[in-house]
Amino acid sequence: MLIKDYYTIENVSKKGDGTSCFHIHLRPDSTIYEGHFPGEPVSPGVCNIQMIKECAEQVAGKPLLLNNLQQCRLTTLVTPLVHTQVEVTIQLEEKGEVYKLKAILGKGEESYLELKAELIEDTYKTN
Amino acid sequence: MNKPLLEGEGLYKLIPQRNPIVMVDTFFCADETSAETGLHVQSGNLFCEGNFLREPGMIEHVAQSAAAFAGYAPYTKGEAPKLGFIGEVKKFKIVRLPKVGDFLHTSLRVLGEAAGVTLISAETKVEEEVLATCQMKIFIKED
Repeated sequence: MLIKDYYTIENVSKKGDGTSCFHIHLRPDSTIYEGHFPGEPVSPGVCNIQMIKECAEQVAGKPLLLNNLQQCRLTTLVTPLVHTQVEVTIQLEEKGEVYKLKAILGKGEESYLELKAELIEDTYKTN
Repeated sequence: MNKPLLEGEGLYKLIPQRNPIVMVDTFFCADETSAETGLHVQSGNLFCEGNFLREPGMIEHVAQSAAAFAGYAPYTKGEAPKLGFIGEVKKFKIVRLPKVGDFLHTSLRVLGEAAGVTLISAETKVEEEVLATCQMKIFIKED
């Protein structure tokens, strides 16, 4: 986990269609909120993207590099005080050396962030 | 490159972000549709792991470069920066991750603006090598 105090995974469930759903607690005490923003905590979009990537790594079973983010739409401002419990849905397809990822961060029927990206195995961690 | 207009905590006049998440430390110049920014990648950086600045750090560097660009006009009028949020990231391609010690130099171009949303394109280099390119939509929160 890159940002150690940002979130906690509470449980993971596999759906019939092959997607994985991560139930996550966003920690309001994360030090990130000292700066984003002072007195007005907003979960940084890039931290949520990183969190999604870390969920995808669990599904793939190996570290991944997000080197081609095709599209990420952030439709709702996520704040750790309102959005304490969130869900990350991961659809990951391995095609040769590329992992095709479609992910949604939301809660129930609501979507806060949608991500479409291609990832490859991360070779930086072993270097 | 000419001497930057603002450096280090001088950037706090342009952006609302504060540590530990400040990801831009140099503001070279700006006109109405473009800006040049930079970041010294240091080992204590929140988004560094091992010897490398990871993907969210690169994306946040571009987002805050856009925030600094948006904050520049208010700054010249003596106003405080407004909060800005990423609405969309598109075509973010990373050629390689920057290393600790690298200086990121980002060129930002405004592609369009409407109803508080600014569409920008950005290219991040280390010396002459392009490390990443992207497009981004930024929302500026009006008071």
